[in-house]
Amino acid sequence: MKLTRRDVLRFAGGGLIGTLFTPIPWKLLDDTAIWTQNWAWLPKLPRGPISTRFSHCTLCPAGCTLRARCCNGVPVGLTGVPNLATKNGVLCAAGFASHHMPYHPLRLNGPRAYTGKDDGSMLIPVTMDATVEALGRKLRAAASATSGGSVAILDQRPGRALSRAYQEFLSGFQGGQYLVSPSSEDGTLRALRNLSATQCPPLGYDFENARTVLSFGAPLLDGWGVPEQMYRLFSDRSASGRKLIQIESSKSRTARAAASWLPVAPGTEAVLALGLANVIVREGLYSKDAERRIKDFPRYRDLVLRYHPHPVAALAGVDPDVLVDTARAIASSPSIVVSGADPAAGPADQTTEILVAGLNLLVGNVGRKGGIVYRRDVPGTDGPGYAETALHQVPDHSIAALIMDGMESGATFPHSLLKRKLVEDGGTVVLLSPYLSGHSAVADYLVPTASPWETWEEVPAPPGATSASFSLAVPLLPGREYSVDAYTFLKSLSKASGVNLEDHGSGESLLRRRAEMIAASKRGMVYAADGSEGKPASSFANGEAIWQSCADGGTWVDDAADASSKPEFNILGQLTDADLARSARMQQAAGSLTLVPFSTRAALSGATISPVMSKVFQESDLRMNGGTVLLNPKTALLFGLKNEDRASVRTKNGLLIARVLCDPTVKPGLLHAAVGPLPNGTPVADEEQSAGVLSLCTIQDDGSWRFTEATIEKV
Amino acid sequence: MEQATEKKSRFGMLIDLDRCTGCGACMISCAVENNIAPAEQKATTRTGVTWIRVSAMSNGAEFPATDTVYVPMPCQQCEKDTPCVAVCPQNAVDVDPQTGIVGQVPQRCLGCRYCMTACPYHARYFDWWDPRWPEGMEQTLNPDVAPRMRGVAEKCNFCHGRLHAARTKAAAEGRTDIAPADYVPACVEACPAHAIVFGDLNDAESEVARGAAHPHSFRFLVKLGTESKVYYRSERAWVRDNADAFRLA
Amino acid sequence: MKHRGIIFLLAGVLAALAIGWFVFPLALYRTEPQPIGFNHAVHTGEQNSMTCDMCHEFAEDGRFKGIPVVAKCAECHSTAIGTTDVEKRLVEEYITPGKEIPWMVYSRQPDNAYFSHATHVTRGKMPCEECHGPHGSSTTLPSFQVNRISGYSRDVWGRDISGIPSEPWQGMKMDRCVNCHADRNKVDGCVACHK
Repeated sequence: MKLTRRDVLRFAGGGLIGTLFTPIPWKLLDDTAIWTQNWAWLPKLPRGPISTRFSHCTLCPAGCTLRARCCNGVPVGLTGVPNLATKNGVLCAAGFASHHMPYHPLRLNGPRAYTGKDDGSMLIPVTMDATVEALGRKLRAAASATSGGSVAILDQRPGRALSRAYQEFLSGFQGGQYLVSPSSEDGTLRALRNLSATQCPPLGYDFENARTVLSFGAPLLDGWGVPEQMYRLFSDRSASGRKLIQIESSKSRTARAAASWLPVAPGTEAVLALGLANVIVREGLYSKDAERRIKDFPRYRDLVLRYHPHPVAALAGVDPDVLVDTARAIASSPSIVVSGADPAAGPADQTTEILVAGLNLLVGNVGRKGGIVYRRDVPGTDGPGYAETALHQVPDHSIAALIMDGMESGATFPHSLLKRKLVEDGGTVVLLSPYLSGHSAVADYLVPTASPWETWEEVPAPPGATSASFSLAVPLLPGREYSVDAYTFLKSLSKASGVNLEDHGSGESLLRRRAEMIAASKRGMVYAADGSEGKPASSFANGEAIWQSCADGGTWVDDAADASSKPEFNILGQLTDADLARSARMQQAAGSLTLVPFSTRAALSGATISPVMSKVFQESDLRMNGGTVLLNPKTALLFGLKNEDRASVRTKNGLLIARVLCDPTVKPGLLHAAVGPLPNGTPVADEEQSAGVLSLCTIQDDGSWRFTEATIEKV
Repeated sequence: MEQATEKKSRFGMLIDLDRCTGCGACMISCAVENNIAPAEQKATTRTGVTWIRVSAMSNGAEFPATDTVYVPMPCQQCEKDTPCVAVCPQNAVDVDPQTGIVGQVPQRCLGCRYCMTACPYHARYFDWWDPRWPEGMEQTLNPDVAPRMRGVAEKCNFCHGRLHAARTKAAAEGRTDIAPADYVPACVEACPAHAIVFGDLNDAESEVARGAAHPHSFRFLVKLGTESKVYYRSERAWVRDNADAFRLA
Repeated sequence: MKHRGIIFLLAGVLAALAIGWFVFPLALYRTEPQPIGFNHAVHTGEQNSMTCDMCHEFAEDGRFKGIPVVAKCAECHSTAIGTTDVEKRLVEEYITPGKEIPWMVYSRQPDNAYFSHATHVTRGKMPCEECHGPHGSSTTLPSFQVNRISGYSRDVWGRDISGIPSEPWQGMKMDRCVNCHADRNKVDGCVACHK
């Protein structure tokens, strides 16, 4: 039998028919369908035991209590734990993704050093030992008389036990300076303490009991203080008769929620404060006690009497009747007058800060319930401590070596400000950070510290809190072998630079020591994270018991401070007539705009937030990526610009190509320029430059950089 | 087997636009809860995926009379002639008879995007990229929601992962009905201003049902007759006047 | 030859049937060994008479924990019980170092499927055997076969390649869920079972 072509075809045809009666086609179809629905390269969901742990967020100074839902011990979801006793526990957008931070693509995975100071300088890996040795040498040199500067530490999260160690370390250097960020959140409080003629205890804002809050630009509902408290008190206009008055050029998120809003002309805040004081003084609404406590009251009174509300209102661009009503509102009941801005806009100018602080003194808010109250420091740090200066307030060219701790979160500053504070030849800058953050660009050495969730971190009282507190961020994930404990690093630096530093073991033992001191002081209450009733610290057997409670998410809160203190103040002590004359200076030239940088707290660069924050920055226009500018539609029209145009923004300090968005809430004549993250996946070098907008800002003599004259042109 | 007799619910939402400050906490908690991946470098406001998107709506007046509300826009959970259900050639979306949730099953979707065109609220999103998390971050995925692949449409399912968890918990305790406190979508839980209320519209005593009946409550595009189950509320008359012809910034 | 054409055709059909029914399953599935042996019968038998939920527990929130963690085994097996090799390996390789046993799960569903054991077992009072068969009385673990295309266990489709269950508990595909729900007049939308 000979096999023919026809036979083969028949066999194949039979095979084909037969195949239809086998599972082959049907099963393959089914399996392929399943395969396409579950591509192998899609991430697989974690499986494993679910558990819950309490901790605290460390992305910004608010330090919110949170509950982490964990799978296999890894946090997979976070929830705020509102707690009325600790006034805490509402998470912001960034906080909800803080558990992504250990896996951040911009993590620094070993010490790095720049090869030089010029533009072509490269970041190269170095060893930890070499870094410590080189730094030890530089610190010794910086401390020598010939350097022209001193050693300084910029602590971006002051108030920790580690902060205390920094201060002790600095005391080993001649002229060592302990610096804090030029944060504006406690600007008014800092100004008040600076005005005090006698010892003034630490201060806090008693928002809970205030009847009226007058905010000079403080974004109370948009990343300021403790979100839980701010939202509870101010997000409902009709609630509880509490009145929020917002003085701010543009109709911000806070301004639209405020009971009244004064759209002040930028730069006239100081004059407006004088106008308010004028009404209070003329109508005799000021506190008689304050009259005694303000040592230069006659001079202050004479000054404010020169600022009649009508011309002031005309200059500031507000309704004179509203101005008078506002003055009466803050004088008639316990009130708080607070100045502030988002982190990028930085501190108010010194004159404004002093005059805002002055208003509080004038109506007797200081030391009064519902006003600005006294508080105590954490036990073990009471009493005369070390001087604390904000970076923008130190003399120019006075820093030869600077160690910056922590990433910028609650505060940032233009790099030009830092350059101005460093000695002429640039000095040495060391950055301790888990990430290649916006500040990496100005550092000579980068030292990787542990990311949130990988180490015990102290969460001290947020700026402006009415009492000291102590809580912990809990390490739920193992640390990376390359990350360094900041305290251990400090100890090795002290050895390398020949400075005496008492050895308390590790960063963790430093914190445990603080818990011991709290236990020994028998002050305050400990509140568990589950919202149960607080227990007096004195009822805890020892520091270990308090530590345990805090490790479970609890918070120690100090007792109210003794309110009988009556410090005296000099309001105008540091103000010169020239300062006052300048305070109405922001009359912009025709054809130019006033550039005001803005940002969102905790989201100052792509390195300080989870990449998933792209939802609000990149995938929607709810928040602005760095390099976006907002203009009033009328202003935009004037400059021939429309939505989504690209435009060059020019100031005397430089030029930036920006994306233009029209926003009717922006005051005409203003140019709101966003400091924030760049789109995900932006190269590291560009990310480091994300403070681009800040490089356009002019630094004033007092170190503030809020307003800069700018022009804009379509490209 | 015992016949399960579950209560029929119509889950709905009420968003107070006067309370919303446009902080974005709902958007991030939603992305974390529902395993929505971070944006790729090229993603924009048009190609990004946000199951709930907060956009500004302006009264159109000139400064300083200008006024803004922020409008969080999740899937509106249309009940009648649900536009996306009506057009889907794949049956990849349906209205769940037990809960009223318009449930999207992205794995079933073939990616024609007809539903996105049909949705009058622009509440549907397309995955232009495969979901990608930075190395190691996939350990932080919520185990209760499956990630979606490139080429499918997805949208808010009222945190169905949480509904499942609440049902499991109820069953374990021998209950047939879930406890309202056990089923709270992530955005509702996240809102720092407590602007969002969630619950069963069938339960006349629920906060959401009572709130929805308030004269200042409204729904967007009622004229289309989609009977959406997401209500909004504002004291501002201009906001309510815009409800049938709204334009978000 | 008269039927020559038919014979070749039939030969083709038979060859295809043979390949499709006997060779194809061998090619489609890859057998992987479980990390260690396990004898259910010893645990559930007369001597110990344990019930399923003593090891396959529910969490507090009602979630089913599935295969127990090694710490659960250690509650009894902290030291070797008996002298078998498997027992020795269990203690030395897993329990003493506290390492989880990388079991391969026969009933593992895709990530987008949601199944609540609490709903079916606790509230619905379904016996485990209704879905899992007499697994609890087996003395050895069945071979674990991975579908080369979809990556899922053969038991999801059912041991029988035809997809027609030879035993009522065979197979765990969606139609099985749907049919059972339909029989009980349970009307559900997609999100009821898809996550």
